[in-house]
Amino acid sequence: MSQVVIEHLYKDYKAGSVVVNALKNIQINIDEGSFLSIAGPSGSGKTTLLNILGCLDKPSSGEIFFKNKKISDFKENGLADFRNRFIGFIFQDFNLIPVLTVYENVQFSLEIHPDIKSGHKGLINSILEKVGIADLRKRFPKELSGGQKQRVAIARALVKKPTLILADEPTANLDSGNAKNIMEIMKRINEEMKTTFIFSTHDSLVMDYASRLIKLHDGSVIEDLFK
Amino acid sequence: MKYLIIFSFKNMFRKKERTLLTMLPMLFGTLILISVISILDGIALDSENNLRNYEMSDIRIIREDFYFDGKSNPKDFLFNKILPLEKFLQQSKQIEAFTNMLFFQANLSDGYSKIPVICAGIESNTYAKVFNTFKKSSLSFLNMTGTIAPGYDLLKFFNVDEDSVLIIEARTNYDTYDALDMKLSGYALTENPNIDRNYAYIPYIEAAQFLDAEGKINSIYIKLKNRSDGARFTAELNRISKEKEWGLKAETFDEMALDVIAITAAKNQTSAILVIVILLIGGIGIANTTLLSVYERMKEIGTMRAMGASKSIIMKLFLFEGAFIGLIGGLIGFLLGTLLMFVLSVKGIDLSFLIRDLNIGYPIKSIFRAQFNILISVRAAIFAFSISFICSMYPAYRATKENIVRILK
Repeated sequence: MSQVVIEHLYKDYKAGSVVVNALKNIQINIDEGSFLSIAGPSGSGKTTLLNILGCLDKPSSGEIFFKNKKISDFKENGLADFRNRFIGFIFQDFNLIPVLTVYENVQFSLEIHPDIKSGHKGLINSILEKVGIADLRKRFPKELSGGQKQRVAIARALVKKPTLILADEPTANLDSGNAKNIMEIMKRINEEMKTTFIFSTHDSLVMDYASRLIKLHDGSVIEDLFK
Repeated sequence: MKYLIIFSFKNMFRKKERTLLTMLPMLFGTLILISVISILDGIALDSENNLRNYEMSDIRIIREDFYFDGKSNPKDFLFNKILPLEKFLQQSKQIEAFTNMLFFQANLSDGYSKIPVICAGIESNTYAKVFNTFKKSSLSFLNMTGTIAPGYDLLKFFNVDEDSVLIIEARTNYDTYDALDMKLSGYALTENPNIDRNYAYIPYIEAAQFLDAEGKINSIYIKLKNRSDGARFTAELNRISKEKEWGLKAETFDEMALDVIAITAAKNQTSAILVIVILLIGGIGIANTTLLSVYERMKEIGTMRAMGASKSIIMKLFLFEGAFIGLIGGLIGFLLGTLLMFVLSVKGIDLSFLIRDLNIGYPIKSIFRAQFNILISVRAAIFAFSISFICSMYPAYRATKENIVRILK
């Protein structure tokens, strides 16, 4: 069964007086438990697509269904609630909250979740163990390496058990060793928890790990490859 | 909610410099607010006491047509001592004491220099029960004929010693000018600069003989056992006076001190506006620093919103932070302000170097004492807290307005 269905999706935006067609007639079905990579050169529209999939941005036209629920019509509060319940984000720059420790960064996800009211400590410790940073729980982001920060970001995204994780260039700021470790962790979680992962990337390592590769060029899908 | 409060606290304490910087204007604003208001209240209280204790007492009885300005002379409003009135006052349980007075405009001279004064003929035994003018010196000299006790500043002006002679020149009841040589045998040293600068006291008998007004007075001053009885007792006196057709009227302290009360109120309002402006500037400081903090943390805000934090969560985070900063700033300001208020109420602040000979409109000398009232501190702290909370609203609102995609780029 398709978890995400994208139909005739267009996204235009204005850059000065010029209208840019960032996405053109995108049609994709994504199955639950996918490990999918959206690749393409800069300006191809992969981040825009990821933002729309993550309910951070709205399409100009077209529809998006999440488990048969049409989310492209949601209002702002509805989108925030949807993100909170179903989506986890991993950013290229990690985007950890600097005044919070590793533990507290992960805790934040749970504290704002409308349904997970108890058992936070156990959930956090378990996810920190899973990504291999349990011993760093009291450290602040500035005391961590890039790889460690990205693990925190993964833990933060995963702790509320979302069904979809969106990762924007997750390895862009990591060396090859750390990048491989991070991909291993995400792949393992994908297999164990059946969480869907969608990456935007132009890193060949990420593309190698992906079980499906969608290539974009000038806002259009030019290749959809199942491995 | 509890978590958001804890998160706001963590943000505050882990960014100590920013928090301190934001807090300072509110801290000083509260401190200044408490100091200024307590000093203004102290000035108002001292002014009232100085007027009651040295110049006006609680109630004054005068002729119905009495008025006293630069052109009139109180000696034109004389009335005969009324025995039934004196008997009524003596028997009244509300009265602690009363005294007759005959005062008039005169010039005081040492033979070389001359200065206009208000010459007050007093009955020393009853006067001392109503006023404190001579508490710091003996009144007995005024029982002797031919003696005078001017205000301390007049004494300094003439630079004369004890036993020197001062001359009173004034218009008598028959509109003739006369002069009277009086032996200096004391002075009035009070907290009321108007008394020290403008009054000269002589025995009532001397004044009455000098003005050719034996048995006449132009005012009766009454000290009440309880000040709050002022309005009621004045009304009763006025009713009796009207009934008996004495042609007299009684005035409460508030009626007598109308000008000073109005000046005090006007100055208090001006000062309060000034202090509120200072606090508002503090509030704008908080708004500014919080807004900077919002911009500095835009990516953090974007991340939180991407994770599903609603706009209300983001708003609450910044509002709590602003409120806590205001609360802590207000609390420290409250403690320091209360301490300063206590010191100022005990020691006062001596501004003689600034206003030595300046008439500042208050009947007080150059030492300003604060009135210690914990409610002033409480109100100031609440006010400071409210301002900082209100001033955090815009930055908090601003934090929710940015487009997530743009701030995450």
